[in-house]
Parts: sequence; C-alpha cells; structure tokens
Amino acid sequence: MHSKLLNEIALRDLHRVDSAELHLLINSIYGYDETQTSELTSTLTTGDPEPFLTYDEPFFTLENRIAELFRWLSKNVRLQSHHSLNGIVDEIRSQNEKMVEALEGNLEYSKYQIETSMDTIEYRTAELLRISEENSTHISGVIQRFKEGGIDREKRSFLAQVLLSDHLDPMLKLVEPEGPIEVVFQEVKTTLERIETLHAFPILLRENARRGIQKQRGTRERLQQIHQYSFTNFVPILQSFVRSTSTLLSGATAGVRFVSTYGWKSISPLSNLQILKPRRPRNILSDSGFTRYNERQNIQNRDNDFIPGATEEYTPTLELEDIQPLFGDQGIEDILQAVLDLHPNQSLTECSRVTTDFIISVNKHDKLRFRDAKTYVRKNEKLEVNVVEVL
Amino acid sequence: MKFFDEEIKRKEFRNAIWNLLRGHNIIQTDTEFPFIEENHDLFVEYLDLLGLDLTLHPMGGLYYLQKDGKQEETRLSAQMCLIFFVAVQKISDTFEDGDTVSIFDLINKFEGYDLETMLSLGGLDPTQANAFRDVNINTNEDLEKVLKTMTRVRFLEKLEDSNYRFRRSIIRLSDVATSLHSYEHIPVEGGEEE
Repeated sequence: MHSKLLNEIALRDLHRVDSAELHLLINSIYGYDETQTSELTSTLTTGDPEPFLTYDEPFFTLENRIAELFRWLSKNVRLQSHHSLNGIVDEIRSQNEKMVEALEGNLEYSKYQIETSMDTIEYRTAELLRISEENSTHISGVIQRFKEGGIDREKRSFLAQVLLSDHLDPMLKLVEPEGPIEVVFQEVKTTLERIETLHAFPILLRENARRGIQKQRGTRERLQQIHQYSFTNFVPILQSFVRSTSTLLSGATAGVRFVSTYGWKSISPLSNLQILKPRRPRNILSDSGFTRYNERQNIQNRDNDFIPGATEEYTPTLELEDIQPLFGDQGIEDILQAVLDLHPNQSLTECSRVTTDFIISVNKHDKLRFRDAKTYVRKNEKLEVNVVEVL
Repeated sequence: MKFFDEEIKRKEFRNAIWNLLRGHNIIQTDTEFPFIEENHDLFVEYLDLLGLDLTLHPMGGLYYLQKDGKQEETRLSAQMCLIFFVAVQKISDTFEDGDTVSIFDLINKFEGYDLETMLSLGGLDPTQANAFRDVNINTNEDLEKVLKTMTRVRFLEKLEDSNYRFRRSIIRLSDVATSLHSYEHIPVEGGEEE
C-alpha cells in the first residue's frame, strides 16, 4: 500500500509534494531508480477505483480522505513501520560487517571498532525489541478503539487494511526463519563467537561478546513471540473489520458493545421485544385435584392414627369450668399448684395452659399477686414460673 | 364469537391457544400455523378477551402473543438477544472475505450450528464476555439453560447431533439488531471521533 510514502505526503502542507520531492521520497524509502520511480508514480496517479495521488502541475496531491486517514493513524497509533525495523536491522548488519573486517585485520584500531560495534548492536537490538513491543501494544489499542466504535465503517476498514498490509504482514516476514532478523542475528552470533574464542582480545571484551550472544538469543526468541502473538491474535480481528458488514452484523455488534458498557437496560429496542411469560395449565387447580389430595391426606391420617396396643387412658382437655370448683370466697395461694392437685391425671402442660387461660380471664391485676419463681414437676415435665396468688 | 362444533377442531384450537400462551413463536412449518391463519379473527377475538394481542410479524409467516402495558421477561429477552448477537458475530467470523451474514443465511443453514461450543464462555472476547455477565450468563450451564428456553419458545430447534437450527422466528431478535444498526458508530464512552 506504500503507506510510508503516503504517510510522508499526508504530513506535508496541503498534503502535496512537487515532482522533485516525490522522486526524492521514493528514492529514500525504496531506493528505486528512475524507471521504477516513474512506474510507481504512474501507479499512484492512475489507481483503481480512485487514484491515491492527483497530479495538478506542479504538485502531486494526496486524495483528501486518504490524507486524513494517515494523519489519524500517525496521531492515534504511533506505530513504527517495518521500514524503521528494517533500518535498524540494516544497521546491525553493517556493524557486524565492520566487526568482521576488524577481525580480518583490515582495520587499524580493531579493538576499538569491535567495542563500538558491539555497543551499537546491543543498543539497536534493545531498540528493536522496544519498538516491536510498542507496536504490539499500539495495535491492540487500535483494535480496542475499533471495537468501542467512534470510527465509521469505511474508515475502520481502510485502517484495518493498512495495519494488516503495512505492519503485521511485513513484521512477520522480518522474523520468519529465513527472514532478515534471523539471518542478521545468526551472522552476529557467528562473529561474537569468534571474538569470544580469540585469546588475543582482552578478557573484558570476550566477556562482553559472550554476554552479547546470550542477549541476542533472548531477544530473538522474544521478538518471535511478540510478532507471532500479534499475528495470531490481531490478524483475524482486523480481517473481520476489513470485511464489509451486513446490517444484521453491525446491529449485533452495536448491541453487544452497548450491553458490555452500559448494561442491557440501555437498549431501548429491547422493550419492544416482549417474550411472553408462559401461562402454564398446571397453575389451574381443578376440584378433582383437590378431592384426590384430600383422599391422599385421609389415607395418611388413618395410618398415623392407628396405634396398636395403646394403653394410656383418654384424658379430655381441661376447660375453665373444670377448675371452677377451686374458686370460693377465699383466695388461693398458688393457683397452678391448686390446679395440679385438682387434676392429678392431667399433664403439667395442660394444667399450666388452663391456669394461663384463667389468669387471662381474670384480667384484673388487683386480684392477682405474682411472687417468686417456683419449679413445678409432673412425670417427665418440668416448669419454672412465678407463683401466682389469687386474692 | 362462534366456536367449533367438531371435537377435532376444538382440540386444534385448544392446542394452538395453549402453545401461544406458553410463549411459543409459531412459524409456517408448525402444525398450528395453518389453523391459526384460517381462523385468525376468532383467535384475535378470543385472546383479546384475555388482554393479549395475537401478532403476525410484518414479514409474515410468524405468529406470537404480545401483552400491552406490562412488559414481561425482559431479562430473558435480553439474554436471548445477547445470545443471538454474539452468535451472529461468531458465525460472521467463519465467513469468507467479502461475504456478509444475513438472517436468511442463519435460517437456511439446515445442519444448524454448534451454539454450545461456539458461545462457550471460554471462547468469548472480553466485550462479549462482559455483555454475557451483564445478563447473568456467568457459566456454560447458564448458557445452556437459556438455549433450552429459546428452544422451548421455538426460536431455535435442537437437532439430534446437538446442533441448534435457527427458526424463522428469530426475525424478532434480528429486528432488535437491525434497529441498533445506526448506533454502531456512536462511541460508547462519550469520546468524540477524532
């Protein structure tokens, strides 16, 4: 897509360059000769469906919309293109060549040259890693922005295409097994190994060479990890943005995005979608159902009532009338004790209940006096309550 | 209101009414559909007495009940919509470049989709997972439960191989998605497009 060139033009005043500037740019970026430069210029000015550049003597003007997109990209993405990485790789290669020359004895100050080259290689290797990491982070950020919306579909599709064709694909090519980074790193490793084994060099330099080999190995693995990760994770997502979307898909995407951010209540069209609460026939209870229920209950009750060999006498429950004989003209010192004495066959619970009923029926405090607590016992029952005197 | 004299028709009427009351979405291939279509006015009148509207979807071929005023099962509606939205996204990912997913692609896929695997929570991106959590779909069991309900109310049909086939009734869910189409480019976090 020639993003580097188009980006350079987009950043110029009125996003245009004259013929000499264009040739200079093409030459500096691609290193093309005159024929190749003319071919590229022709491609850019006659592209289908719309050309990137329009020639209006003396300027080549970048199409306004494309210029805007590149400005957005450079402002928001802050990506270093593969040209930058290629430049760094080239510098590492050049420094390695200088070390090889020094080793071959072609340079006068070989030790100094090797030290300088090793430092440069170390610095550039670290830079390579940093740029790759930052690129990966930036692309991740852009994808997140794509998902959050705010960029119209056409623009998003174009930007996704730029990221794929001008960043991810070339980056992956850089780190593939026969790619420039692998080749240069292998060459550097060979040179550093030679330095490490040459006893003519001071021990410090040889130590540095050994450390350099270790660093290179770590960096190479990390670079591969970063680019492989970027490729496998970002490419499918970006490809989905490149594709044209249907109304259904864009609506579904908006729905997921809204729910994720604001919750499902924020989607007003949902209120038009009523899923009716099911009316279940089993909620209607028929009389025959109740009859069957009663029958079941009756059978159960009969089973429970049958107690073979029951020996206890039937004792009817006490009523207030049953303790009436206690109340004459005189008062009673301990009403519960009096009831217990009057009905020796009744349980303590039953006597206590009827006593309570009596106290409630009196309902006049001046006729009752509450004294200290006392423990009443009958059979297995035990009760501790205040003694109540009836005046 | 005139009811049917023949017992067989009374039975059909009873069956159709109960299925509508259960919230089923009845489409052309369902046995109740021709009977409802033939006796449309009678159904409308009868259900109106219960305070319910028999609705024929504008695209035709789909009957369902609506109730004025009170909105019911809104969370369930949201769960079903979300499942549908995410399914659309996931299915779209499997399409070749240049192809776009439409409601007809979904309905016409007779072998259906393995929705339980496709929508399993482990395979969702953070936005989709957040949205699922918001509607209380926190586990794959929750997901299966809603898929089961969607099958019961006849948005989906579960096939023998456990795949789910989309029925024509998902037009109702597609309508919600279509009405959100114009919001696709509106930023959700208040930032303006730069």
